[in-house]
Amino acid sequence: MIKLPSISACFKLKRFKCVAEYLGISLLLLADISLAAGSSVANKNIKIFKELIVEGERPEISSCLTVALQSVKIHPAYSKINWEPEMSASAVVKEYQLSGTLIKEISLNAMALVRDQSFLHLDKWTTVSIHCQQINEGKPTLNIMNREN
Amino acid sequence: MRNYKLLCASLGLLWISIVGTAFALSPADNEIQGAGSSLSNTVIQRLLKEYAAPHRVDITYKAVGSGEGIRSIAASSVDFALTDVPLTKYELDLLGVIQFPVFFSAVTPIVNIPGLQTGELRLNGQILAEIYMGRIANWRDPKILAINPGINLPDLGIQVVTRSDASGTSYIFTQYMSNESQDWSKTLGFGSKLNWPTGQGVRGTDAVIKTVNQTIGAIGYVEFGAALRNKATLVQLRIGDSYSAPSFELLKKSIELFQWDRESYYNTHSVGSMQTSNTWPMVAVTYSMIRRVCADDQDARDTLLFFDWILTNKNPVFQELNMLNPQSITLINNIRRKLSEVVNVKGHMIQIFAPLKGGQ
Repeated sequence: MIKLPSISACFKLKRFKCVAEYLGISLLLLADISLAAGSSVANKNIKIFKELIVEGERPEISSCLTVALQSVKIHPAYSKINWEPEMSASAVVKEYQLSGTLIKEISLNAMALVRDQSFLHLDKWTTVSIHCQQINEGKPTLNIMNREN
Repeated sequence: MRNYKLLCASLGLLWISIVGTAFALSPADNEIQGAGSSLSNTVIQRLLKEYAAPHRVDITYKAVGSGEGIRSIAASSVDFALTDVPLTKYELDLLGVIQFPVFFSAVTPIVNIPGLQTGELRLNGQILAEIYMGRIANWRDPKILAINPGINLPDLGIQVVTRSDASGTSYIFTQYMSNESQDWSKTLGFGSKLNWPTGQGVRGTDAVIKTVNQTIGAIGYVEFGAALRNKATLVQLRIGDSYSAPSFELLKKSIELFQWDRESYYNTHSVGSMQTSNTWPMVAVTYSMIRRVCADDQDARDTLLFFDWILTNKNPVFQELNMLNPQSITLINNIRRKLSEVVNVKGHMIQIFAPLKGGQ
């Protein structure tokens, strides 16, 4: 086990080795945290995808909806996303090959809750257009656009 | 002495019959459950019947549709699912399942038009799309008459029949229309469950056949073998420069063109590339889905052995039902390799298959 003086002592004494060790530990911790965050996102994707399938969502659009649900947690404009069964039944799925690359595209409309940081705010839902592109069976990339603007 | 011998023989026979009956009536050693594709129901029920008794395993299968099959395997309520809707590698990884092809069949439109013989009416993808979009609503529409010279079509409204459940047959049928009609592709796309612009939605293959056969002027879409068995009226489709009705030979030739170059077996050849003569443009690939990590070793082993039996079985039932199982030894060996990825919760492999000779 590494025994280090307190961080303030480290800086006061200008012990560079000690500062470097602290920096190293911090970097390791950061790496751990980001790895954990990464696997937590993957685990959440698994959970969301399974839930959508078990709830009877169309299998061919469920990975796109998973990515959409996950993305709004950090999306600058929207904090939640929702859709009616009618909206998912109306999702348009296309698939084509381009120079040997398999491209699957999914487009649908959904309702999104506008992110509002103000103290007093009312929930505002707006219609958005979700577009996913899945290249060679990988994780879909997502684009959310406001349809009311 | 003679009476004694007769008594011994009778007792022996009695013993054999008692033991034999007890053996025949004894419950199976294990039970496994599957659910999914209704398109594959007839073939899987026939195979289950043949397989179950000699292998002392009780397998039940519920034809609830491909979407419900995927739902059941995701909910871990079955040991395997059959689906005509494939998942991509990313989706399979999220669910923790593997998929592999087990049956191939053709999907075909069927109609109920008085006075019309099976295979007499000609249609094409563009017209089918317009019918299913509600734009062509009468059998005497000029576009239909133009490609059916000499056929006396009645002045009769078209009754469109669709699937209301998440269906693999819908997936194949709408993929075909997406390829044939830009309008369809832009506005509806393909999928297991759509917001159909017109028609009556019913659940399962049997219900489609029943509804079409009972409704004058109806059109629906089902698996080819099921259409034949139920004496449904088939149509010809334009393939390349000519028109053909579906047949086992066309199905076989179509499958020979498939290339299984994806690890997930996600098939991109079933529709679209089948536009040359001597092929059929709507081929359904029925996949089996099983969990990569299984909770019960015995259930997993029985499931794997059952599918290995299907894959390596030259059973005449496939041709009899106008279906096929994988024929290429390379494909079968690759699937067996895939199946060997199934492990128990401790990470131990469930089954290792010896490769068939002749593969690459």
